[in-house]
Amino acid sequence: MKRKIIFCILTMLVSSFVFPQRIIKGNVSAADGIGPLPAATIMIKNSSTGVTSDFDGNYSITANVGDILVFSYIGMVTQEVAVKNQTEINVVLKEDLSELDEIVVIGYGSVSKESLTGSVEVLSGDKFEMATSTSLENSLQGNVAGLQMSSSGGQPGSNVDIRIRGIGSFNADSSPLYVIDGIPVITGSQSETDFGNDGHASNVMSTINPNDIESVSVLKDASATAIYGSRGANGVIIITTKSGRSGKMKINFSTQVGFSSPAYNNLNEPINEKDYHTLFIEGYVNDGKTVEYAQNLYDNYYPDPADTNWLDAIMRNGVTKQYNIDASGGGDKITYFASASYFDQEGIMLGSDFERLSSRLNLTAKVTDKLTITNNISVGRTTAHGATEGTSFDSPMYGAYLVPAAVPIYNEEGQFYNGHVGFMMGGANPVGKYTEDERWMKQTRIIDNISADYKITQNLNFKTAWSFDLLNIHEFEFDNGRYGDGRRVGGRADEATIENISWIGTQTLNYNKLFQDRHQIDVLLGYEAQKSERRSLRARAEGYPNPNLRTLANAANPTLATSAKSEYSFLSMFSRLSYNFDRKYYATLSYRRDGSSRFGSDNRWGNFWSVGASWVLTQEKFMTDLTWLNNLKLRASYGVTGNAGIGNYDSLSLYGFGNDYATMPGSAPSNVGNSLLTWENQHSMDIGLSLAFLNNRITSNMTYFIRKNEDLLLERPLSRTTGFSANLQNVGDMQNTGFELDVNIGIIDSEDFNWQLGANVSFVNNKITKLDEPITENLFRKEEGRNFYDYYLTQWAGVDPQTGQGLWYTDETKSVKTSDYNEAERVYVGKSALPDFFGGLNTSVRYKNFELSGQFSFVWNKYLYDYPAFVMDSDGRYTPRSTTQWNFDNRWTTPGQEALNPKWVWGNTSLSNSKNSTRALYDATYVRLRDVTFSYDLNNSVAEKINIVSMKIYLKGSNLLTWVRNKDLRLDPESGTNGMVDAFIPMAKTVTVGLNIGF
Amino acid sequence: MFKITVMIKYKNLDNLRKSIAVVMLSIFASSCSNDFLDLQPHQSIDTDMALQSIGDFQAANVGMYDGLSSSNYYGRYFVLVSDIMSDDVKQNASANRASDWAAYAGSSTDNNNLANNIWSRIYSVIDRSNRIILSETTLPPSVQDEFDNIKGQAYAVRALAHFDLVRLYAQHYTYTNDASHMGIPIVTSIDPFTKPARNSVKEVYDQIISDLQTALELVDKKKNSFFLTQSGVYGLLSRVYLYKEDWVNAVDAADQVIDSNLFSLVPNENYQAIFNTDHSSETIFEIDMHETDNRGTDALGGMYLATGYGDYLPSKDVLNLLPPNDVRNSLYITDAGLAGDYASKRVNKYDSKLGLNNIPVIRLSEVYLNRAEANAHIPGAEMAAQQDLNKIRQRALPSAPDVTATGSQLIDEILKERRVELAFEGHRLYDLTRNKKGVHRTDCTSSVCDVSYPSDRFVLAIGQAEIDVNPNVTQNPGY
Repeated sequence: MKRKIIFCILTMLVSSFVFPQRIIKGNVSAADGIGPLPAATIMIKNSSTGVTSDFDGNYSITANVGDILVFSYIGMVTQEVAVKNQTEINVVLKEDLSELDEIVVIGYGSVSKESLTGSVEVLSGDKFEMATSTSLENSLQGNVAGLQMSSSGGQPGSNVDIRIRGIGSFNADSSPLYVIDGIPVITGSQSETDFGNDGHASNVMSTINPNDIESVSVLKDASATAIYGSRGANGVIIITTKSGRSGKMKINFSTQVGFSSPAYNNLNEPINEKDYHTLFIEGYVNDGKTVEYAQNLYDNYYPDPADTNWLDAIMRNGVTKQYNIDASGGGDKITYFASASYFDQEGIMLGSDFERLSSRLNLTAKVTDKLTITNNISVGRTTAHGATEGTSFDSPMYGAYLVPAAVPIYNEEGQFYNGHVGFMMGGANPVGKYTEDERWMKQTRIIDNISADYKITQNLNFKTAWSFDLLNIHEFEFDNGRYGDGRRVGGRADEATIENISWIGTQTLNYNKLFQDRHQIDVLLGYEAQKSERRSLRARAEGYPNPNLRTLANAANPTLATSAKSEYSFLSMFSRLSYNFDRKYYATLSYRRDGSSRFGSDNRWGNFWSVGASWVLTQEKFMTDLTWLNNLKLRASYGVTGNAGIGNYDSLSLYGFGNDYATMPGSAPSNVGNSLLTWENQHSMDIGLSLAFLNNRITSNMTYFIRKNEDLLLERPLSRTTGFSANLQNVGDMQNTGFELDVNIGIIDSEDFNWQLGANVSFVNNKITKLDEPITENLFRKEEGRNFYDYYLTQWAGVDPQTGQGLWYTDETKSVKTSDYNEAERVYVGKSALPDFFGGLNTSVRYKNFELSGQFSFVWNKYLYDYPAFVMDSDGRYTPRSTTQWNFDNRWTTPGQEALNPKWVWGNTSLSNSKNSTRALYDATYVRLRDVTFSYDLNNSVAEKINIVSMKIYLKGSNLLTWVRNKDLRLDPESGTNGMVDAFIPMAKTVTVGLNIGF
Repeated sequence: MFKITVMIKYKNLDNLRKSIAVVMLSIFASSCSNDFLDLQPHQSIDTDMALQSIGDFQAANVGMYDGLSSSNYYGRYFVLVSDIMSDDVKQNASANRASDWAAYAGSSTDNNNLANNIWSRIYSVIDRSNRIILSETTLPPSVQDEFDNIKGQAYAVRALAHFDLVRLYAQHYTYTNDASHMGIPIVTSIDPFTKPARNSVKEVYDQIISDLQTALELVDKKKNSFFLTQSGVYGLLSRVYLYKEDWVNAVDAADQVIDSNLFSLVPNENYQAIFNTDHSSETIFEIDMHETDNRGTDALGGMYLATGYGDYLPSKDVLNLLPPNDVRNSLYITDAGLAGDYASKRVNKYDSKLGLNNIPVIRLSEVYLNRAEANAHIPGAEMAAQQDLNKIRQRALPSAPDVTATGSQLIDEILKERRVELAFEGHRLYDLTRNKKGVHRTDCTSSVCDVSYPSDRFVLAIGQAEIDVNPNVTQNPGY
C-alpha cells in the first residue's frame, strides 16, 4: 500500500515536469433531469489528486495534457475524459442502474446483493408505478418466485392473500409481515362491517400510494427473516419509499385513464324470462303438479312478467383515473421527496368504487457530520363504496342469477320493484340495492416515521427510530325498508368507527469495519418495543320514516350501541453478526428474543435465530480462467422463526359480557383458554445457487427449501356438549418443501434494440406431518400425510339418464352408483386447492424509443370449489329461484337423455345440490396475460426543445387474456381463497392510456 | 435481562459512554418488564374472577337466560323445527329455512345446519348453568336467599335444557318399555375435553326430575314470568311427568301451580295479550324479547309473517278444528298474496314485525291441559279431566258445550284441545309421538305428507360436528 502511494507521488512529480499543467474548469451534472451534482468526485486517473464539485456542480482542477479525468458520483456510472487542449470539461453522468440493483434493503439495514446469505428478492419501484390496482400487493404476483397471490374478488380496494412458499399455518395468519421504511405496519382489513363481508372487501394497505415505492424486498428464508423473530415465519415484505437526492429539483407528473370489464369471459349468465318460464312450469310438473296449477302460480307471482337481464343491469365498464405528482431534490444538508396523488377507480359493478387521496413528505437532514435526522410522513385517505357479497340475498353476483328475469327493475311508479318481496329473497333488487342504498367506508391513515442516526465513530452508528401508525375508519350501511334486508324493520342503518393506533420504538447500534483489508464485520444490536391498540364504536338503528334521512338519529329504534377495545404488545431484542472474508465467504448469524401479550403467561418469551453462509466461487483464483462465467454463488441457511398471528386474547379462559336478557346485563363463558398457548415455530432450510454468465446476459437463481412448521395453532374441535366448539392449541406440524427457479436472459442488447426475457417457476409441496386426529371440515379433511387443501367430498357420478336423478359413487372404488346422497361416502378425491407449480413469464422488447413488454402468470393443477352452486345450480331446491344458463342448458328433461345436470323439481329434496360433492369442483389451471404495455419515450433532444426533461406515453392492458384448461369453468380461475370461490364481484381487466412527464 | 457489551477500542471514550447511556436509557424508558406484555381484555374477564360476588352470579344467571333466547333455541329454531315436522304446518312455496326437516329430508348436515346448531346452543346453556351450580364461591348470609334463587334457577334451566334435547334428539319415553333406548349425553360437570356417550332416556329423565326437585327447594316463589320461579318449575315437572306417563305426579305438580292462585287465564276478550304483552296473567315462564335483542331477521314470528320470511303457513288441518266463533281464529289472518294450495291464512300469534313477541314456555292453559290429560288416564279422575278441558275450551269459546266424552275419546278431545290451544308453541310433534301417533298431513304442500308411527325420522340427527369429534356418541338410526 505504502509503495503504491510513493509510486503515485513519484509519477505525479515526474509528470508535472514533463507535461504542461493547465487549469480545467467545468460542471458535473446528471442525466434524466437530476441536474447539477454537488460533491461529485473528479480525480486524475492513477493519481491521488482530486477535487469535489461545489453545490452547483462546478469544479476546477489542475491537470496535464494526457491525463485522464475520472468523474464519479454514488449511484452514477463513472466517466473518464482525456485531457487534451480543453479548458472546460462538462460531463453528464448517467444513473448506474446495475449498481442500484446491488443494494438490497433487509431487516434493520441494507447490504450489497453479493453479500446476501439469505433468499431475498427485490422489485424496483417501476413495478408499482401507475399500477391499475388499488394496493401494492397486486403487483407482486408473477414477479417473485415462491410468492402466490389470491384475490377474493373485484371490489376496488379489496384484500388480497399473499403466501410466500406455501401455507405455513392451520389457523393463525399465513400472511407475511409488512414493513414500511423499517417499521412493521398494520395490514389487511380492519373494518367492522366490511360492507357486510368478513374482511375480504377492504384493505388498509390501499391507503398507501404505490407510486411512492422505491423498492420492495421480499424476504423468504430464515437467514433473512429471523431478525423479525416471532413474526418472520410467513416471510417479510419490506417496502422502502422514495427519498430525495441532492441536486436540482426534479418533478414527475403522471396520469392515466383506464377502462375495466370482467377479466374472465366465460362467467355464468342468467337465463331470460322465456327460459325461466319453461323451468318454472317444468319444475312443478316434475313435482307432480299440473301445468295449469303452475301457470296460475306464475301469473300470481309475475302479473306482468319482464325480461330483465340482471347481470347486464348491474355490470358496467368502470373508469379508472389516476394523477400523481412528485418533486425531489435537495441541498448538501437537506434532501426531500414530496408527492401527492389522486386515484379514482370505478368497479365493474354498479355502486362499487374506490378513491384515494394521498401525500407524502420524506425529509432527510444532515444536521452535523455525525447526526442525520430523517422523517417520513404519509397521509392517505380512501373512500370506497361496496357491496355485500357472497351467498346473501343482497349480494349482487348472487341476486343477478337467482332473481328471475320475470321480475322488473322498476314498478309503474318508477320506484325499484319489490312485488316479489313475499316469495323471492326478501324482494332483492340488485339494481336498487346498489344505487338507492348506501354502503361506504372511509379510511384515513397517517404513518410517521422519525429517526436519528448518530455516527459515534467512523465505524459505529447509533440509530433511534420511532414510528406511529394511526388509522381511522368510518363506515356506514343503509338498507331501505321496501325490499332487501331492511324490509322487515322498515329500513335500517349500521355505523361504525374504528381507531387503530400503533407505536414502535427501535434502538439499534451498528458496528462495521474492515480488518486487514479482508475481514469485513458488521454487528447489529437492537431493542424494540411495540404496542397496538384498537378501539371501535358501533351503532345500529331500525325503522326509517324517510328513506332519504339516513343518519341514526332519524330512526325509530336504536338496536345496538357498543364499543370495544383490544390491545397487544411486543418486546424484542435482536442482534445480527455478518462477516465476510475477502468477499468470497460470507456468514450471517441472527438472533431475536420476542415477548408478546398474545401468548399464554406460561409461554410468553421465545428465541429465534438463524445462520446463513455463502460462497462466491467466482472470486476464487481457480475460477478466474472461466471468463464466460461472471458469477457463481452458493448459499445455505437454517433457522427458527415464529408466527404470532393469532387473536389478542386467545390464551385466556374468559367470561364475556353482552349476553343481555330482559334488559339486564348478562355474562357467559366466552373462551376455553389455554395458558400454554404460544407462537408457531418454523424451522427452515434454504440452499441456493446464483449464476451469471455471458457478460451477465444470462442470470439465474435456483433455490431448494424446506419449511417445517411446528406447534401449529389449531382450533381443535371439542364435543359440542361442552358448550364450546373448539379450543386453540399448539398441535400439529406441517411441512412445505419446494424449488424455485428464475432465469433472466438479455437476448439482444444493443443501443437501439433490446430484447429481454425472464421467467420464474415455483414448486411447493405441502404436507401435514403431525396431527393426532384428522379434522373434517366443509370441503377438506386435515390428516397426517395429506396436504392442507386435499378436497374430501362425495363423488358425483352424473345423472341417471332414465330418471334424471343425480348419482354418486358409494365409495372410493367408484364401482357402485347411488341416487341416495346419504349412501355416498366422503373420500379424498385426489385433488387439491394447492397447485403443482406456479410462476410468471415476462419479456420486453425495445426498439429505439418504443417498448413493448408483457407479463404472464400461470398456476398449474389447482382446483376450485364453486360454493354458490348449491343454490345457483340447485335443481329446483330453492323455490322459485332462477338459475344459470349453463345449468338450464344442461339439465335433464327427457328419459334416456345423457345430461350433465339433474332434472328440475321445485322443492327438490334429492340433495343433488349438496354442498360437498365433486359436482361443483373445477380444475382451475390457467395462464393469464397480467400485463402488456406499449410505450413511447420522447427523444431527449425533442424533450429539451419543449422544455421538459422526459416524456413517456403508453397503452397498457391488465388481465387482457386468460386461458383455462377446463372449458366448463365459469369462475375466474384466479379468484377465490382457501380453495373456494364465493359469489364475489368478478376481477377486472383494464385497458389504460397514460402519460408521464418529467420536468 | 439484556446487556449490551460493546467491545471496541476507541479513543474518544467519552463519546462512546454517552452513546451507550442513550441506548440504555431508551431501552428502560420502554419498560422492559413483563407488565408491558400482560394485557387483559376489555370486554371479558378471566374465568377465575368471573363468579366472585352476587352481582357476578346475577350476570351469569341473566347470561344463561340469554342463551335460552338464542335463535337456535327458543328464539326461533328449537320451537320451529318440531312444529314444521308436525301436521299443523305446511310449507310456503319459497320455504327454505329448516325446510329439510319440514320435508323429512334432514341429515346430520341439513341445509341450515340445525341438527348441529340447536344441539350446540342447548349444550352451551347447560354449560352456563353448570358454571353457577358448580361454583365453589361462598357468599355472605345477607345475600344467601338471592344466591339460592340463582342456583335454583340454574338447576331448573339445566333440567329444561336436558329435557328439550331429549325431546328433539331421542325417541319419547315410552318408545321402549323401560326407556332404555338412546337419550342424550347428560352433562353435569365442566370439562372442555370430555367426549360423553349418550345416556338412556330413563337416565336423562331421572336427571331432569332430580334437578327440578333440587330447584324447587331453592327458587323464589314470587311471580316473574321472565325467569323460572317455583311455579315454573312445577309447571315443567307436570309436563315432564306427563311425557313420562307418571300420571299421579303430573297431576300433583300441576296442582301446585294451579292451587298457588298466582295465575289466572287471560279472559277471552284479551286473548292475544298472552302473546304480545309482558307478564300476562296466565304466563308462568316466557322468553323475553326486547328491541336490543335485535330480533328483526331472527324472530320466530318472522318465519310465519308475510313481512318476515313467511316460509311456513298454518295447515287447514289445524285451522278447521276451530269452531267459527272461537277466539283463537283471531290468531290467523288472511293473506291475499297466497294462491292455490298455499291460500289463504297466515299465523299471526307472533304478530310483531320487529319480532318483539315473547316466546311462551309454560302457561297456565298448558298446565290445565297437562292435568286433564293425566287425570284422563287415572281411573276415577275423568270428571276432573273434563272440568279442566272445559276451562280451556270455554275460555276460547264461551258458548262451547261441556265435554261429556270419556275414556279414549276424552283423551282424544284433550289432545285436540291441546293442539289448537298450544299450536305453534312447539308442542304438537311431541304430543303426537308420545301418544304413538304418526304425522298425517291432509292440507299438505310438502313432498312428504304421511309419516306413520314409529319412525326414526321423528327425531333429529346428531349434528355432524359432534359425530366427527366425539367417537362415543352414536348417531340416531336412519341417519
